[in-house]
Amino acid sequence: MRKFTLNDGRIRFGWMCLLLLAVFMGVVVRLGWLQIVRANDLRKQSENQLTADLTQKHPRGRIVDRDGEELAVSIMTGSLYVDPEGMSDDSLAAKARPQRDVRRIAADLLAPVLKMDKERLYKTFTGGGRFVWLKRTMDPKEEEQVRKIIKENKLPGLHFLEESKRYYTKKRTAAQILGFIGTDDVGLSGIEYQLNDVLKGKDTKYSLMVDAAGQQILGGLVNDKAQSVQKKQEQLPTVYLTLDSKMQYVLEDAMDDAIARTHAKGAAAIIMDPYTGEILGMASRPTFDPNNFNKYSQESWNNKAVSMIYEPGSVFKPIVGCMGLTEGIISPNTIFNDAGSIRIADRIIHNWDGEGLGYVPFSTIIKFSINTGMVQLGMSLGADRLISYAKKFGFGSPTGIDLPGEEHGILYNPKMMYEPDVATMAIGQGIAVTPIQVLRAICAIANGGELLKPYIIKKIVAPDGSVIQEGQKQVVRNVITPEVASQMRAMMEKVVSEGGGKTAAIKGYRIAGKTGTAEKLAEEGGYAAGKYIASFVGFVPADKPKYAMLVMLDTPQGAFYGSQVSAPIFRDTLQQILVAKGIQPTNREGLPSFDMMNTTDDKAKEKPKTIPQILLMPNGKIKLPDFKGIDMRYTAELLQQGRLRLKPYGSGIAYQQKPAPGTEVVEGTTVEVWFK
Amino acid sequence: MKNTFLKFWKNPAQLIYMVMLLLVLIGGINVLSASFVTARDMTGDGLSFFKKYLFFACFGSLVMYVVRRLGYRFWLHRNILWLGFGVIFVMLLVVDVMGIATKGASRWIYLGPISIQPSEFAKLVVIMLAAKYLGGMLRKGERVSLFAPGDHRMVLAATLIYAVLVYKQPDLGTAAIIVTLMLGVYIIAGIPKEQLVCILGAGGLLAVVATVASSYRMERVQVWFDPWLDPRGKGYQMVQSLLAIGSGGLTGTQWGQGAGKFFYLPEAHTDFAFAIFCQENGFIGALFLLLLFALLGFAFCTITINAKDRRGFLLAGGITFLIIGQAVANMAMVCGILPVIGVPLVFISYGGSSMVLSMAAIGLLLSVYDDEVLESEHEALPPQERRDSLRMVRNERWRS
Repeated sequence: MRKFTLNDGRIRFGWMCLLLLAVFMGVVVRLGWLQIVRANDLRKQSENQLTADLTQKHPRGRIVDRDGEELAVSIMTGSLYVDPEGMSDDSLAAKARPQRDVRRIAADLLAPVLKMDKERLYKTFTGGGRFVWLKRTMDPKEEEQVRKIIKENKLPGLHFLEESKRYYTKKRTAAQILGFIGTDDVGLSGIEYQLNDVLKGKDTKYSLMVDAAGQQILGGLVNDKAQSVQKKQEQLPTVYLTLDSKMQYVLEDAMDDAIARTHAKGAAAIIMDPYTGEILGMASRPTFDPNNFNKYSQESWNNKAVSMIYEPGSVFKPIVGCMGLTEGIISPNTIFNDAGSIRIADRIIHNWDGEGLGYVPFSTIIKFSINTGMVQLGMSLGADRLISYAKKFGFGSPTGIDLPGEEHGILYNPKMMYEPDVATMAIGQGIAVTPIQVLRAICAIANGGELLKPYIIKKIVAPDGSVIQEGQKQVVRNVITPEVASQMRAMMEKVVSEGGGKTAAIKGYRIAGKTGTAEKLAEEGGYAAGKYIASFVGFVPADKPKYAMLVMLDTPQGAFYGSQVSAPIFRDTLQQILVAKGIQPTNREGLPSFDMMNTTDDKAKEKPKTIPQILLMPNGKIKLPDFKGIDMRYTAELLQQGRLRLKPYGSGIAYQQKPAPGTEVVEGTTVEVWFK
Repeated sequence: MKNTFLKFWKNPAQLIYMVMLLLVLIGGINVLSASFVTARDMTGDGLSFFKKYLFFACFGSLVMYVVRRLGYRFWLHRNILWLGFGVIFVMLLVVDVMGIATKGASRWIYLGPISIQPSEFAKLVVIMLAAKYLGGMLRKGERVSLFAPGDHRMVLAATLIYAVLVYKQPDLGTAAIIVTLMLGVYIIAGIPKEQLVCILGAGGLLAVVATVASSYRMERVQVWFDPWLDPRGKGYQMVQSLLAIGSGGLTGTQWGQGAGKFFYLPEAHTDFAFAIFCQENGFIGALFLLLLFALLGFAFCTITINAKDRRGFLLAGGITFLIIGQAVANMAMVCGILPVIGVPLVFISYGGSSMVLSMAAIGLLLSVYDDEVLESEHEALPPQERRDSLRMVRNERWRS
């Protein structure tokens, strides 16, 4: 074997170094390939995995009343879910950490916070799958605790989804106006439906730089670029309604009371500002709680104030009267011959009591709601003028109020009208209307002739305080002259002060109004026997009205005249509102004095020892019990037993009465009772 | 010889010092960036790895100085060498036993805040053993052969013991490196060409068999060919490494902005620190780093080629393989030319044991250079002084 010299060794070393150099050059070429040729492609991939596209959901916008009182609010709450298969450190996250049983740790830490069983949680975590709800819509404190635990222990696989939850803070109040939302934050009825596009939370998409564990890259040695994509916090607009929640509450209360007393099938009531068209209160029965809307019948979701059509009956008479006055056919003093009934072609139309008053001026026709007089006026107006004026007053077409589901109503084609049709239309039959149409036509009389477009959305305010949209008084047209309006107001005031609407009178205030009782239209056509719509429409004060109100009861049981059932609701509601709003009575005469209240106040504190009863005395008189301490409904029931009339003041529990307990009174006497 | 290195350095030792200083600077900054997130996550102090890196750089410099000062002849003395072998042997044994006790893979011995990786030191011990005994054979004019009788069998035995212990950790990669380094020294010590061919053949065959036998290694080789086969599983680390390098482009992201370190790239501050460096400094930065390693390699080769003492030559050659070979292997692995084997990139990867060992090795290499200088100065002397100086050298011969 040849001797191996040092030089031989150097040559071998040289060869090996060349081998290393070859690999080294390979590295240079490879780096060039990766960093120059493929750089853009790889950079894009790198950025893709670095950027997480996230969606920020916003809570639905609020609905508040005219003073900002909350009616519907949404809050975002976290819903916790787990990705059981993603619950281990070795998936993607750093492998640098020591091994641990993530599922066991998570179960032990979360069980006390979520108030769930440790073992059950552990079972969920080990059960596989990629998505399991743990707890939905958690309360914020709980959510914060859980987030802290997840962050501090770097628990993988546990995530939150933000979900919006809607709360109707006043439950059934203004239910049909507000409406409700279904799944996915979609408004299904009422304002929620009408303004869904405004209220619905638009999701904001944004991007974040995240590390491999999905945590946002923040601070440390990274630059601002990583943080530059900030999530945009965005709030949604607030919708202000024209409703006054205090009035609305009184109205809802009165409607509940009315339904309880009359067992009516349905009802609607509206309070409107006659000068602006703002809806201050609006109620419909049957009603529901929008928080749990699906537990109630679909009928209860309907807003009868805008969607129910019916024949108005006598409340239409002032409108026909205005037609006559405007056309110059009549003046308030034009004399009519009331014979108690009148024959038109083959039909005979009676007064409600069949009695005739003889020769009376037109103001009396209105005051006592005399059909014969109205028919005579209607016949002289004729079909064309009746229908064209009705259209002018806004009947036959929607009022355009910003609520969904409004009905048109029905008007005859004047060319198809026979004489009896003309005659009955003059007394408010043969025309189908909605409550809102009637009220706004009456408002035209109240405000001196302007037919307004009613509105309920006062304004929509953006989060920065700017007003996006504002509801404004909108005059559709002038339908009558101020003189005609003033003449009709005077006549309608007489209705309440002297005529058929006395039950609507509030002592000290000038009230104008008109009752109406109409047979109900049967679904199969014609009229439904024994079923009536009892309504009352009016405004206060009569000379310069602040509030106009309509009450309509559908098929009340027992008493069915508008003057009997609807007018008292008008009276009770407005009385409370007038007092609450500090509107001074024009006339103090006849009001209960403070002295009287004070003298009996002490007695009010004593509770009745027995449940009061109506006692029928041998002489046919009725002995009044002490009503102290019982509620309005029961008081009304007791008085009804004795065929006495209740004149309530306030609401709540009785504390004072007139006449005093023990007084013997005759049937039909009015008993005044104060409630608080 | 001095005329060979003109402008920037007078001799290879200076070149090595300059390059090392630059590499420690670059490596420190890169470790700070690459480890910050992980360090903060693990210890709460984002600077903890950086601080340790600086500590080991200082400690390593001290070791290097001492090693060079004492000279390689001292370190290659039988007693010192076998003492070192024994210490490393015990440490490897402890690692294995602890690994069995905890039923986990471990490569470290923990001494308080410092962890030692004995397999790194085993590499150097093997090279030193080979240099000593094969160099001894060359001096006597014996031909080195794997199967020939002689002292070199102790080298084979020692290497085998280390390799088995390291393999049991289990760390096949390091075990293979230990054997390869030993063979490297054998090759430059002049084993017959037939054996060279046999070694290459057997090595290749062994690699194939080992790969086929283990699904784990099979997967590694598969994702080496195409990491995008399973980018979220087995190919994950390779894909992340390539994404990091590629996204650096020509000029790189700014310092600290490389995204790979945010838990995307496993071992971002250790074995794959080069990928983060490429991401943050781009192709231009990477070329500069490669240039530094090339200069280092050039200095190493110069020292090796110029060695006149056979032991010094073998030692310098082995250390060149150890440092430059591993560096090239690491870079080739990070950019996907070689399959993933756990080799750190000296000075760039964070790793205390690797750094201290490398600096100790460089100290040895520099002492080989010192010997060369002494010898060439001695040859330049007039005959009378030369004899005196020889006497001095002879007097020191007891050392080796």
